[in-house]
Amino acid sequence: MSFGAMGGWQAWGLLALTAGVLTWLFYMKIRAPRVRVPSLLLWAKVLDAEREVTLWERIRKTVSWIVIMITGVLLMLALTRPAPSVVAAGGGRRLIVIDSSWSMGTEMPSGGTRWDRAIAQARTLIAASAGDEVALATTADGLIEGPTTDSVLLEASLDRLAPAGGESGDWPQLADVSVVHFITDGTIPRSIADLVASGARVNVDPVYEAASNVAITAFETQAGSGPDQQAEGYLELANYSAAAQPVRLVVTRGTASVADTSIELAAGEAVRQIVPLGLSGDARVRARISARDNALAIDDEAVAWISGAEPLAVTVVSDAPGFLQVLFERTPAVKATFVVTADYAKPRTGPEHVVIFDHWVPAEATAKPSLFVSPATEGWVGKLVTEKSPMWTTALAHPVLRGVDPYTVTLERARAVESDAWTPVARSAIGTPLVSVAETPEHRRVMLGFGFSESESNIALQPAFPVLLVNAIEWLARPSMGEQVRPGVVSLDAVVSRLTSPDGKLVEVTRFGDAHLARITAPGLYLAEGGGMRSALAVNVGDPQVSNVGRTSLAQSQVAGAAGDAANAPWWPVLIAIAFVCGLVEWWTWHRRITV
Amino acid sequence: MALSFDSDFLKKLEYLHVVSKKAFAGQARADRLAPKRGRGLEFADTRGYSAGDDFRHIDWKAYKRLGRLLLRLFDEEQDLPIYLFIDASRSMEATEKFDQARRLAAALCYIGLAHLDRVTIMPFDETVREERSAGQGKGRIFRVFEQLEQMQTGGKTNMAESFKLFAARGRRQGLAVIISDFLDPGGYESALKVLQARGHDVYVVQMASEADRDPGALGDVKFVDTETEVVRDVEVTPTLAAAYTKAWEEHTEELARFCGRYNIGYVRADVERSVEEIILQTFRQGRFVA
Repeated sequence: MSFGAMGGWQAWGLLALTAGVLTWLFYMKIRAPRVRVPSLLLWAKVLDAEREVTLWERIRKTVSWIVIMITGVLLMLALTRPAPSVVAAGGGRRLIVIDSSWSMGTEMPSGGTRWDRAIAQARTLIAASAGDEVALATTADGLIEGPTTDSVLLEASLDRLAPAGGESGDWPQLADVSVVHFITDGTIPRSIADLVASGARVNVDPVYEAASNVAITAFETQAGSGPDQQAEGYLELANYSAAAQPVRLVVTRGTASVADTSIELAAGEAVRQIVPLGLSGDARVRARISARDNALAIDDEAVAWISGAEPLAVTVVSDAPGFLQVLFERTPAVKATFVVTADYAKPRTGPEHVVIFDHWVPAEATAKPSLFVSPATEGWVGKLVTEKSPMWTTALAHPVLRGVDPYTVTLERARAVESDAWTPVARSAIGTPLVSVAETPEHRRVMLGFGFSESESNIALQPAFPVLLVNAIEWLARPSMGEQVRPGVVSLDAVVSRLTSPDGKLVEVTRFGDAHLARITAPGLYLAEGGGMRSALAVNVGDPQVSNVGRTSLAQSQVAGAAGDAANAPWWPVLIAIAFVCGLVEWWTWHRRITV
Repeated sequence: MALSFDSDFLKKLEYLHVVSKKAFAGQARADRLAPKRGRGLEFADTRGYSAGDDFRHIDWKAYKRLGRLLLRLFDEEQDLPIYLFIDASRSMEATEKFDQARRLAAALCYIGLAHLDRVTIMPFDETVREERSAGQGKGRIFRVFEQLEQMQTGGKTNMAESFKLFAARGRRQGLAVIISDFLDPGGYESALKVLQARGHDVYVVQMASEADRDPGALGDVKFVDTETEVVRDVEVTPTLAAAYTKAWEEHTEELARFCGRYNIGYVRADVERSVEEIILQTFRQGRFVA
């Protein structure tokens, strides 16, 4: 026998003390008060008369005392929470690992979620391990608490936990562990070979109960490729149920509903849908499903961000925009504003995602993403270098140069700057930087070492011209966020310095070498900012691996055991309830003078 | 406790007088008929003249008509001796019984004084304490109030001994009013019989309170007798409490029955009721005052 709230001797001592105090209080309660009466004459008559004492009158004191003792003992048991020892005592260190994958949020037919049952199971284990060191871990977060003998600390940690993914996380590492309890539903199979190899005894505590679910297992969007083409959303819905059921699908773009339909899904069926999202509108797209047999809620909603849904605002600072003006008039994805160099310092209204400096460099550096075209002067941008008839020979793989064919470009004159801040991604044969980029958490810049006039190059007449310009503007204004992102540790574009969750909280971004990492624990649309640009990161949970909550990798015997584990529910509230009832009975009977 | 009555109540009291079933010989002239013929105003009878009779009372008209000397007789109007026995034992001190008894005694005194009766206040416990004559005339009521205010409880109840002692003093016959809770371990029967045997017209005023009827405390209780300080452990169950209440009711009924059997006046005065209500309603209904 061990106790969840304290050591064994403390609990037994407290129990004995309680019994003693209750007995003393009972006798204090029944201690006769002195009542002065005018005369005992009539009492003597009453008492001297023969009167039949009923059995209840004889035993009611004892019954009252027993009820009080039961009440006290029940309260003490609820407080000390005794449990049969699950492991022989010996001071072994125990590790409780809770599977925190999203499938643990599944509502079970018997009530509650798998997570609730896992937490209850963990509490039972903590209670049964009183006196031994216990550490608490989840598959998503690793070690959470301990090792410690302080069960209150562990209980408090349990209260803070919630499913957070971690399907592919490593096992938490802890030295000198004698027993590992892994509480899981087995939906995401995990090998316990590493744990076993560490020499610890591994107990798998299943919390699985079969359930039906409907999920969005994939969701992506794509902007229309032309001005007359709609954006589209690609959806995959799956019915992980033994029966066919209708599924209602609602897709919204911003606040506008773009689809609201019901789809009949057969048992085990997965369907793919293409949803037209309209020619224009908000970049935020949200898909939501609802169905009858739907045990897991986290995969019922998916979000996406249509990159390019909103045209980029570009300011061209040039005294002779020439080909740039022609190009942007034909590019709907870019909304250009032309400003002469003399007016650059004047205030401008409206958004300004990218600034293009054509043959001119401002006196002071700007924090906005900037494209410099054949800078005419040196200064803060670097040292000016020139070359006549440069040959574009070397190029690095960079998003700015994606799809640009240098062999079609003939350059008459190169004029670029060199400094440590710039990284050349394309050079001439003698090393003159033709295309350079600068990237810091504060800004992004692109430098083209050639102009677009006929006297400088022929690029304006080549297919490479729009490709290069749009690439540069996209790279400057919209950092790449990759494809579908799942909760967990996410690698961000190097320029992202600030990440905001859907509920407005800042997510810590950690720089690890050249990579920027963030740990995302909940799905939704995250706002990414940095280097003067803003973008969004769509994080979804839907995954056939997670959403198919009707299967498990656990052995059938373990599953059967888990299904009957209603007894694992915390029993101390029941004790308190019984104690309350006993107290109520005692109070009521005492006031009715049935007991003493 | 300060005794006082408002003037309205006193005025009402002046219209009342204590009723005695018997006519007693008084000491002084008053407005109550005495058993003997005397010098009152009310014509009662005639008798033959004897030597030594007062000439002024010879009925000359009858002599002229009958030729015989007849003497006119009148009813004697004398005062009524009223003995107010107030139980001053310790059993009376609880639940305001003693205070109420003193208020009632004061009211009865006032009625008696207003009719020139001779009222004597006689507190008793184990014996009759110092008796105090209130005198005659309602102007003496303040002295009575003072005497009653100074009266204290103490000692055990022993009616038989007290009344035997009173009887031995050979006082004139009169109206004996006993104000008590009648919780006398020695019994009240012989005591009342002694008074009656001495020719007094006896009236019993039983002081009672709700607290006397209801044991109040339930469960294990140590009852302490106020008079004797005897302690008795009692486990008061609802059944026992009901039995006690029944015993108290029986005690009251027994007293009333006894009084009825021996032609003793009986009224019950509950402390929960006002003195005015008791005097003007209960005592009048019990024909104790009229």
